[in-house]
Amino acid sequence: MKYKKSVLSCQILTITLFVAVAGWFWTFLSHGTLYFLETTQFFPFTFTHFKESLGYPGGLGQYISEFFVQFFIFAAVAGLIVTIFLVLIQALTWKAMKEISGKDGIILYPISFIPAFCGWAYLCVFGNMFTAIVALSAALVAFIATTGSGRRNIPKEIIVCILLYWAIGPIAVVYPLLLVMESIGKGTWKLVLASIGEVILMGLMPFIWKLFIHYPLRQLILGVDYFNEPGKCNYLLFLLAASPLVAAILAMILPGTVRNGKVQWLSFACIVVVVFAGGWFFMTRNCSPLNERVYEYYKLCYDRDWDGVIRKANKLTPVSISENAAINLALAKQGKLLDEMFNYPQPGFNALFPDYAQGYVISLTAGEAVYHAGLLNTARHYAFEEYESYPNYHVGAKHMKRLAEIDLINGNYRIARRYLKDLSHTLFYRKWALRFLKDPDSVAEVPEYAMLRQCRDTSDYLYNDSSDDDKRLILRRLVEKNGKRSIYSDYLMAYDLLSCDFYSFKQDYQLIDFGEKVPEYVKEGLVICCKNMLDGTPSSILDKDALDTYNNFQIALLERKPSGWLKKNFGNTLYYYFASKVQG
Amino acid sequence: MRKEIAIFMIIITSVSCSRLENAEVSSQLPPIWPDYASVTVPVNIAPLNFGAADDIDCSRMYVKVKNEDEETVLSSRGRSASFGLGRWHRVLASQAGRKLYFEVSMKIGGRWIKYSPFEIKVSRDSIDYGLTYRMIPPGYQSFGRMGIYERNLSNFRQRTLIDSRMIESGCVNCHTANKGNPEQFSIHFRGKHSATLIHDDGRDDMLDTVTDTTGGSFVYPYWHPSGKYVAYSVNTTRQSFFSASDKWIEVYDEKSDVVVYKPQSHEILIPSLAMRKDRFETTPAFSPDGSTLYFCVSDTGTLPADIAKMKYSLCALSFDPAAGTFGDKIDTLISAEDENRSFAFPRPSYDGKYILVTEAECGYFLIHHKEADLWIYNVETGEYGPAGDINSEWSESFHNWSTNSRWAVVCSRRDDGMYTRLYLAHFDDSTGRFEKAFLLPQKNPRRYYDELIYSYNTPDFTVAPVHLKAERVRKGLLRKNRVKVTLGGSTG
Repeated sequence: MKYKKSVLSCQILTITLFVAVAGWFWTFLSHGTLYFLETTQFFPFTFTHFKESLGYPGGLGQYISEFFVQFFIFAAVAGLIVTIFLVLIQALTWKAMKEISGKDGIILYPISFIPAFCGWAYLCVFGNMFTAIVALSAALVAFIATTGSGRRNIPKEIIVCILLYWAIGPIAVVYPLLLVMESIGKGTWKLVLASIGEVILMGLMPFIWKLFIHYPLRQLILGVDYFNEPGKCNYLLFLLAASPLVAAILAMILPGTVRNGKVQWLSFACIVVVVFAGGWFFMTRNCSPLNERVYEYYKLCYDRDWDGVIRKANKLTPVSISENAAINLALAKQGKLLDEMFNYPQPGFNALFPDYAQGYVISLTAGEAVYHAGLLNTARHYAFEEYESYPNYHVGAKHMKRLAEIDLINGNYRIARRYLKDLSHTLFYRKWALRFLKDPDSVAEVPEYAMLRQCRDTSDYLYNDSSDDDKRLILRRLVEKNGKRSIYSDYLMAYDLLSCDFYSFKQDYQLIDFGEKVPEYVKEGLVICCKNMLDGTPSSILDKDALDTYNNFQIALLERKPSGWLKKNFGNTLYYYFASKVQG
Repeated sequence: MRKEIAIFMIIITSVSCSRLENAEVSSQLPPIWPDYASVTVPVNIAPLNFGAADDIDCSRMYVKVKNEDEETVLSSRGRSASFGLGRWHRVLASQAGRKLYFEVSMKIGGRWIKYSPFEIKVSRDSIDYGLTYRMIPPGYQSFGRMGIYERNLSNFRQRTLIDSRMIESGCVNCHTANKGNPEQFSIHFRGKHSATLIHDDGRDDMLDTVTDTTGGSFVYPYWHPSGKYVAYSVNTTRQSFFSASDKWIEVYDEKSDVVVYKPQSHEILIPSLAMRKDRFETTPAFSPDGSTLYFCVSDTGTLPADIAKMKYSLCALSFDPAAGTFGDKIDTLISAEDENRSFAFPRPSYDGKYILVTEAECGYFLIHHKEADLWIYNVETGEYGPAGDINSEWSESFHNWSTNSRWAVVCSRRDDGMYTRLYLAHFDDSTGRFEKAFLLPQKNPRRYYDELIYSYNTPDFTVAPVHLKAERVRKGLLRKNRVKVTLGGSTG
């Protein structure tokens, strides 16, 4: 009795440790990856969508996965769902191990965590979809359900094989493979042969389906929705599928218990350490922190959490252009762009509006920047390109929402209505969509929309939004229309400064009424204009502090101070940025 | 048990009938969608099912369809109007050349309202077996999932011919058959495995259509009626964006010419009059007798600055199919300068009497032009003008004639201004204009179109099911070898 209690306590302790670490990881450390999955999907509760998902192998699994992924918008819920699935995989694996090996010794228990860690690592990889996790869980459930009674029913298993491949795709092969192992465990060779037949049947399923649907065979073999690029694959998929089998084999080989109590508990502790440490090491090797950060920045921008963006930037130096775009946007929204932008690395003017052509990950934050900067048709273009460029042909609800927002702001209610109706079929965009479906004029009650509507440029001219000159032109028109200092004027000035185009800077400066408080980098820009012989910049308007800093920087350059020293003392000035650009 | 059910049904029916008798009578036409009031339909069209208009909260609908003798020939009861396929076709066959009257009662806000009946005319003119078209999400440059589909017009069955997922190639477009012949067509594939497929009587050729002289790939095709030639435009296309809110994008050419491809020898014939450096020539089409090549011509300019000045005239150039030579004079059928409008995508009716063409303020890529409409040119008289009730206040763009020249299909954005849908319209030979167009029928049109996130594109009629083997196409695309088209000479 005491022994049983101890075993139970150890199991509870181990699972609690796993739940705590997984929950913490997915909620606080790596929510960006899950958020990205939600960003790249549109899950309407419509008959059409459901019907479509039944038309190819793995579609039902994908539908269930999409259902859960829609909750990934919330970090805590996302962490909870993923943790539940990982624990489910562990629990089912443990049950399968006991079923196959006939042992339930405590030493084997930590081994049941191997598939859960594989699933964890699988989800960390950019492009891997939650569908594979759902599929593996379903395959394990099928195994437990059909073998739980202790009696095997081959016709039923064959039907399950066929249905399982249709429902979850090729990961269904785990099911007959576990049956083979179960048959070996029981030592009944007839059942072994029958199970091998079921494996062969499963292997034939892609070829049989190929006769009826026109999907490439590669996709039918490797899965339509296990990766965001159908038919592509990485070794983690094979590892994920193989992991329950590995656990089952280990269960068959290893002893479940050891007579010596101390040795037994020591063995248990050692295996726990090996599995957990190995699992953690393996999982972290597959993480992509840089991508992760982009998604987190995007989430903060989407949530309009500008303080959060700045806090994040202060914690970790941005390294990608997407992060730069998000930080510059946050600064601009807080009116600090022209005072603080050089506190952060600035690779160039394209850090304001990165080109969507650099990929859909980059265009996530870039799309936010062009939208808030008032480049509404460019924002529409970015939204279109984003949701058209996902390799798995998904469309994103967030992009649909952005398109609706732009049409609402522009007063194109009839077109907006179409997107709003689509969004009204979703769970988390429904409330927002219904508000504007019922009363599109209420767009004027939302300060952000009202401001963009009021300030937008309604003059009719063509531009190329990949052209840097044209982006400047649009900003200039917005500034001309709105006169006073605004996010548009700050972006325009920043555009001029980051492109080191001081001729344009001087022209644009005259368009804007900065009032009493001229931003720091504008002051420094004026100093550079004056010192670099740009006619018409009177030294009388120069700020004394800015001029002193300029002179000190020049002296430091003449004294050939080391670059580290220059960066430390002048790194947050326009002078340093300009000098580094001039020197290439 | 059966008896009880029967009694229950009788009670329910009689109760609802008695309520209908007490219905409020409205002199207005019923607020239904799609709007089928006063349309002319082919005798073999799929049932015109419909629902309540978008802003009508209709909980029940009762529809009685009567013929000219006031006999009830069809009825429907439910949340929307839905007619059985077999019964519908029997009724249409028996009423060909006559009118049907739809009496619609709707339960709105708990009250029944009986509306004034609307009529449809059942034309004796049948329509072809089906349509082929591309479906693609509305967008700009990137292309996601898209496909070419076939739709049987007598029922609701849509079949996938090819889908970008099947062939692992980014873009499939411009499925163009020779007068609806499913055995002779051309398709372009863009992306990493680009090619132009010519399918001719069971043979597939994957073409590399770029030559030094033409400078680009084939784009807009049209088959010669003999099947021995295909006219293509060769366009270097660009796009720019509007700053203003109601216009978004303008697609234009930096260079465009018209060539004629000879599938048998893989040669290109170059009509020198349609390859002028100071002109943009595009969207070619052959006359049904094969002796004339129609296309649209504009002066070149500085683009995109001069886009508003880019106006295309409808022109004609004679062609000798036996010798493969072109005439030495271009005739202007509709002058862009005279009309101060632009014309594109001429489609001659197969009886040779008319040319249907898209008209707008400027340019030739007119799907994004809200003002775009169809115009019709009478080949015999040279008269031309708007094509009638096929048009709407929103964009009408790509179009094609049925093989009997009595129907046309057109891409229209009239429903929401964004998603292009297919409308069919009957051509009235007596007026030389089209009658009111109707939306391509669907089993449950409200649900289907509301939930469809794709736009229709480049529709054409097909006289029979298309036999396109996607796997064969995929293999052909993945094999790198392409048939290189060669220059066959410049004439005219």
